Amino acid sequence: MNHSNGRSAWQRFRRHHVATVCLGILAILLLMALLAPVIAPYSPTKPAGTFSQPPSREHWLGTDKIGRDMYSRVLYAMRVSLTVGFWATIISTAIGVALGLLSGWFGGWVDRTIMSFTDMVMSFPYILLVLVAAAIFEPGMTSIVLILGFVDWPGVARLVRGNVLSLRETNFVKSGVTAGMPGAWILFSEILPNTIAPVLVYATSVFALSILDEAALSFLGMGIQPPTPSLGNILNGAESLSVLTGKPWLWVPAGTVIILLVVCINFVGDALRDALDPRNLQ
Amino acid sequence: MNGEWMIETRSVSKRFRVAGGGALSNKTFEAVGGISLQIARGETFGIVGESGCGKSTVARLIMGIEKPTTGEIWFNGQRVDDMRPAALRKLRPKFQMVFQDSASSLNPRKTIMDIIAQPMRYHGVARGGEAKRRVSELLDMVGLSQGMAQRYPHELSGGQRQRVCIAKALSLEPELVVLDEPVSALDVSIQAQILNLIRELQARLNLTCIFIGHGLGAVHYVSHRIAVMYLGRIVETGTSDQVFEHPAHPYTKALLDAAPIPDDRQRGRRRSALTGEVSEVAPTGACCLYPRCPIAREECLAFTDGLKPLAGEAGHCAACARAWEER
Repeated sequence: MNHSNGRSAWQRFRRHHVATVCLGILAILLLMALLAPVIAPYSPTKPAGTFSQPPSREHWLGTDKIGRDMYSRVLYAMRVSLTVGFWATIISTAIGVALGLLSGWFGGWVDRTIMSFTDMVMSFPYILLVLVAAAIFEPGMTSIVLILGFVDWPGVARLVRGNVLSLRETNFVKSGVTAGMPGAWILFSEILPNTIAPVLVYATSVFALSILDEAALSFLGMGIQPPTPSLGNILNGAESLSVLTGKPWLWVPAGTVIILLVVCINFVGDALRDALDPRNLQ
Repeated sequence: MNGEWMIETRSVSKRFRVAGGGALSNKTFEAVGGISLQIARGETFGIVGESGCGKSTVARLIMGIEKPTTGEIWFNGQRVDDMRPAALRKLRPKFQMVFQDSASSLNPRKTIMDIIAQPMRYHGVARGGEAKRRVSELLDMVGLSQGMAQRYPHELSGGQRQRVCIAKALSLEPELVVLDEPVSALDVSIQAQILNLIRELQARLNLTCIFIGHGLGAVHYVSHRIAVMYLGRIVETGTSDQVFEHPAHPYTKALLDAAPIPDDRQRGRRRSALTGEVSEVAPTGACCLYPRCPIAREECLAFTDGLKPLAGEAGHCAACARAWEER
């Protein structure tokens, strides 16, 4: 995409006011996560004061039941959750795009094999698959990323395959064929660039989903292991009724961050769908 | 076998599996039934017929996008329909196509410059700065300003896009250009401009063209010779003037008479209308027009002869027993 195309895409994005605000919120959260080592007042893993203190001037979001500073923990947890979400999205999108391209381009038995495998992965009870995988592999950041990455790709694969199938029927792909261009060129120079926009949009929802899945997995104790904080295992510490009602500072911030991340990413994805379509003129 | 024809089809037919017949169904539909065409170097050959008569399938068969079910296709004395893909790919720049829908003919994510220059660079027709210069030349040739090179397809009008498609087809220096209803999707005022452009370029570059259309006027205007198709068969062929001024086949007559008459004085002209619908399939062995023909007789039920030359008119052929008698 050249400069003028990028600029008009940005103009189209700006017309979605909610999404623009969401992008701002995401940018702030991302910056906070990136700068966690600089701006966190205390260590996220070591006690820094009296336990179970409500928010105060020393501890903006209070302390948890062993006296760790909650503000620092949430900052670092965002780092972990965003990292997991990012890499899981990269892996699943890469797998999905590769399989979708192969499937749509070659058709025939290649398509049938890949698509039945995709359907199989899709029809598997999601959380069970993740739990089994988490039980087999040692829990930790790398295994969470790999598990989520290898579970989230079927949607992308189907999306890309559908796109390739419809693009194959367009005249510009046919005229690539009649111009005697090699198959690889047609696939990577004519078809792939036209699937990037929908994939990017879909990837945002995979990103949001991965953050939720990581939270769910960590909440169940199968994800990021303490003392490393993640948004999920912070919520895990709020399992009891007394915490839920009596000590909201232990779970409200982490929960809010999850909601903010997921909602904002989804809104940005929607706006991206319109912004990346060059046919959407002002 | 003989090299004097630029393109030759020998009893080419194409059958498609009928969709919805189930996986095991062998029901087929014959889109093209045994067509033999010879097109000479440097001529524009028009193929005319109503929608669904198989004329676009003929174009796709000649372009090698579809493979014929039976029959052979020869290009420049070389059989191309059974060629190995790699060999065919080398030959492909020699025959190019312009599609009806110009909007889907250009990659929406590329500039006009890239769209035209990339195949030229790949085939080594022009490299580097040479390719850029060549694109300017081509844009100039099809009547577009130089500024268009940096635009994206959606920023152009339909007529401009079709000009780009023509430039793109010409970029590889082809010998044959197949134009599949190139003006059908355009406004009437733009149609004339594009037709003039096609005529002018054909003469200037001594191109061989196959012009496919359902607008009789357009086909007559650009073509030297014409074939009239009905239900996958050629029913009449001859020079443009022969077919238009002395139509022999009842289908051609009906097609000509169905065109609106702009001249008020001719309004009283007799109209030979066909009855019924295209979907009425003739009984096996009968002439394909039998159910709808105004002059059909019993002998037309057993019509197996194809095109036959008409007496006294060189190169004018028709597939109608009654037409042969009349001349």
